[in-house]
Amino acid sequence: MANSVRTSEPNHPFLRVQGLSKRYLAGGRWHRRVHMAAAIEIDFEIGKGKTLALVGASGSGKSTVARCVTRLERPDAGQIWLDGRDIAQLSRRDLALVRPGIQMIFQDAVTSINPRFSAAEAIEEPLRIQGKNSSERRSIAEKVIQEVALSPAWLDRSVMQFSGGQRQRLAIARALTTQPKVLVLDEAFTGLDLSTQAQIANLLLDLQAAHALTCLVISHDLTLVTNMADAVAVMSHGRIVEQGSTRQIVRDPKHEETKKLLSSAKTAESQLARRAGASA
Amino acid sequence: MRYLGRTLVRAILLLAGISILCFLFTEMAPGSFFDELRLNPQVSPETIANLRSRYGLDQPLVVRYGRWVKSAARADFGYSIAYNAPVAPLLWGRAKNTLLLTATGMLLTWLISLPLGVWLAARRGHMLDQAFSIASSFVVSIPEVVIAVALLAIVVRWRLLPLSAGPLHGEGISLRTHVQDLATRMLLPVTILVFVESAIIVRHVRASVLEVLGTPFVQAAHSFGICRARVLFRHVLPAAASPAISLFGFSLAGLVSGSLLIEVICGWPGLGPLILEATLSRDLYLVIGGIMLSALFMVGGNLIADLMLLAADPRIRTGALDAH
Amino acid sequence: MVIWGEWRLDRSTDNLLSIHRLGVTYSQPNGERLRALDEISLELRTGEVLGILGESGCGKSTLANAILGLLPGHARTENGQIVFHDRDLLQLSEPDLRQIRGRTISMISQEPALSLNPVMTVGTQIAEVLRAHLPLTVSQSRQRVTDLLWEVGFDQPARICNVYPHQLSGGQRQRIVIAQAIACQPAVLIADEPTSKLDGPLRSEIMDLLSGLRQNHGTAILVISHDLTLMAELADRIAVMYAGRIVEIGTRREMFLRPLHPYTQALLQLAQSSLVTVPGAKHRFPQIEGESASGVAMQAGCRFEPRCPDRMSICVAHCPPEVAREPARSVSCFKYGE
Repeated sequence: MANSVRTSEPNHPFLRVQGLSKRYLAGGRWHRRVHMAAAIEIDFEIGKGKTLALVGASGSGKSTVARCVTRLERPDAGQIWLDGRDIAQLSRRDLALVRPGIQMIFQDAVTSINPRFSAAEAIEEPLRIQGKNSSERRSIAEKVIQEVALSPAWLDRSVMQFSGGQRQRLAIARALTTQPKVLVLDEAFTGLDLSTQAQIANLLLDLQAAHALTCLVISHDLTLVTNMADAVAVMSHGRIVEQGSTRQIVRDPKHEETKKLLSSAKTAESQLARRAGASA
Repeated sequence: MRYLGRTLVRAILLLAGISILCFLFTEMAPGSFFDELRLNPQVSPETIANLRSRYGLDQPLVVRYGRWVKSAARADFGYSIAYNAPVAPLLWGRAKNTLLLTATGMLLTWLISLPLGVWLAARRGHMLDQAFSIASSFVVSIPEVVIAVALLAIVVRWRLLPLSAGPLHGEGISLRTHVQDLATRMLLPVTILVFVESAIIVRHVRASVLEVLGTPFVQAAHSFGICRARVLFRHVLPAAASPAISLFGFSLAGLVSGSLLIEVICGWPGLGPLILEATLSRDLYLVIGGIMLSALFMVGGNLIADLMLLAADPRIRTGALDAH
Repeated sequence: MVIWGEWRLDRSTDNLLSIHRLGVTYSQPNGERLRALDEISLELRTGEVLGILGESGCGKSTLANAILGLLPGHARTENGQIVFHDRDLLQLSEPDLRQIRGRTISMISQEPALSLNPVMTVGTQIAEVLRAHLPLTVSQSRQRVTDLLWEVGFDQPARICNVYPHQLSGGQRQRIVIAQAIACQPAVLIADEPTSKLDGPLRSEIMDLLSGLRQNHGTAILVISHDLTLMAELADRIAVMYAGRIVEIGTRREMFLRPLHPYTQALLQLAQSSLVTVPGAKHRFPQIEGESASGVAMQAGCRFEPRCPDRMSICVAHCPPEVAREPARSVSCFKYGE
């Protein structure tokens, strides 16, 4: 039984997911399809301006949840309450009004931004879809690029000239152009080196403070998220097996999976301390 | 094995579907074989009506289709009104000539294009590579008809080849003369075919080899000290084969239908002129027969390509469709 | 313990591979030259694991490629030597270099998933490396492939031989790449980010595999990574790179206990602060201010100066020379002047 914990005052979660389920087609003939459940009865809440980390091993269903919450996929069952409105089964047309409010940052910035674009074109893409004219787009682009600690002078540089960490920041700037209320980060830190991860994590903390952003961070790296999140939900085989505040989860893990994730993170830490001290 | 069975069944269903569509479309097209005759005041309407019922053109569509299928089973494939003979032997006689042309063209095309494509990819940016890119863009955008006529004009203007009406006939002509004669006649149409097809195939082969050359596993092979030639032939080409195999399938598919215009222009006695004539005169079953032959090669060629892909790419063979 | 290779040592020292003042530049589309490596000097001794620690863009991969002569066409090595077996690798012809690649010096590159040919069985791919260097018969080759697969941790080598890469998991593919790299029993193994794309349990497996190589065969390993835990586990000595220069070298113990260069200090602080034992509360990471200096064209002063908390006025104008503090310990920073 997953015990859900509110991360804000009762009755005011900004993003609430109830009973979310999603199956995928795994094969079989047309008269006898085989399904694989990727997410089963997912329940969690995030208060306004707070961060929830969704952790688990590869294949546990974390990305599926992320894609359902941002409605890149339609869930088979359940509700997704975004600021009081259920977006789980909205039609495409209604969804178009809701989309600016919830944005996603993907794992590999190298493949999620068109390398042939200039930084300005990459950032302005959502605005172009909304139909804003070019001077409006430019002024918004200049504003958001400064928010991600990059210089507006670089707006005309090609995306290829930016490093991995910088491209991830461009992706964040692109997400900010629609003034979202919720950011979902799907393994956004994987593959970046530690100092870049730190920069981006700090950037998110600052943005969260400035805009009261509600964040859902998906990662397999427990060490990173425990420093960024107010609450943690652990997933295994499509279900949430344990949830709680970060402090609670770190100090007193109950489920096997949580303990397993924590222990491998702790092993890394003890290696660092122990091996460093051992004689060469 | 199951894959093979499924594909065969699909192929047969496809051919059946094409035959039905053929009938429907020709039914919808205006005119019939006897329109010209009808205009002739010396021919009475009764004669025409007789002729029509003799060829079964007054029966409903479904009955006609049923009769045609029966005729197909007897390997006649209907009756040509103009030639007053069963369709199949007529078609086959001409088809042999067409296949001679296209098979030679295909062989030469692939013999030239494969090495050329690989060579150009390995020497990307070289002057010859750039020259080829420009030339091939040019050739690909000009319609085949225009190129054919242009080459024909050149040949005529400078009298490069003897052009006479038909193949030599008669007793006592040696095989050698016969072959020589054939070769001279084939030279122009084959050249046109090879010219046009190579431009496309070389571009695709080059692009596919180039893409594989940039992959990490090729760079890894170099980093392990394997020499360039071996990397190219043993590592790159097998990985770059899939698009080429698909194209090969297209080439096979077009063995019957790919040269129709060229035959008409160069006066080669193949299927082209026959079908053209049949279409213009509304010789119904001959037209349908020609289309079905073409369709047979299309479907067969794609089938062979699918099988070759199955053999070449282990990912298809082992059903590697991840549930990611 | 079976020591590999019949290699001779450099007579003057017991260094296996010596890099002296290597410089590499790339030409940019806009005509400028970008200095990727600047005055790199390193020594790799027999049987030791040397870690090159640095962020992405600092030139680590360029260094790995330069050693094996695999730099792309628009790169140029300027001055410097890479001495191996009494020969300067930079002066060797391509056929001579080919004999060394995969045979005495081998490289494992970053992306295990993409480093294997999708249409060849993994057994064949390992056999290709053998074929390029060793005169083995078909059955000898097959036997060797089986032995290698067993060594890298596969329980059923005979079955794995005929399997295609897409039928294996990411960790298994990384093992195959390692098998290819050690096929000819090289004296030096260059591992470029061997674990950065892998998660948790796989990383430990690969780390164990690499340290096993060193213990069992005396292979010298040059590990290139941004991952401090990997260095803590594997490396005997660590060289820290920043923007194309080596800023500090020392033994593992000294680097972790008493880092000298401000950049090393910042990295360590960062690694230690992101650990789980800190009570789970949202807080900022101790970040190194400024942008990482990759892609900077040739600059006069210290490369780290714009981000250094201890910068002085001399740092802007001059590049700090390498200062030897103790034997096998040096740092390039004006804080530790003569």
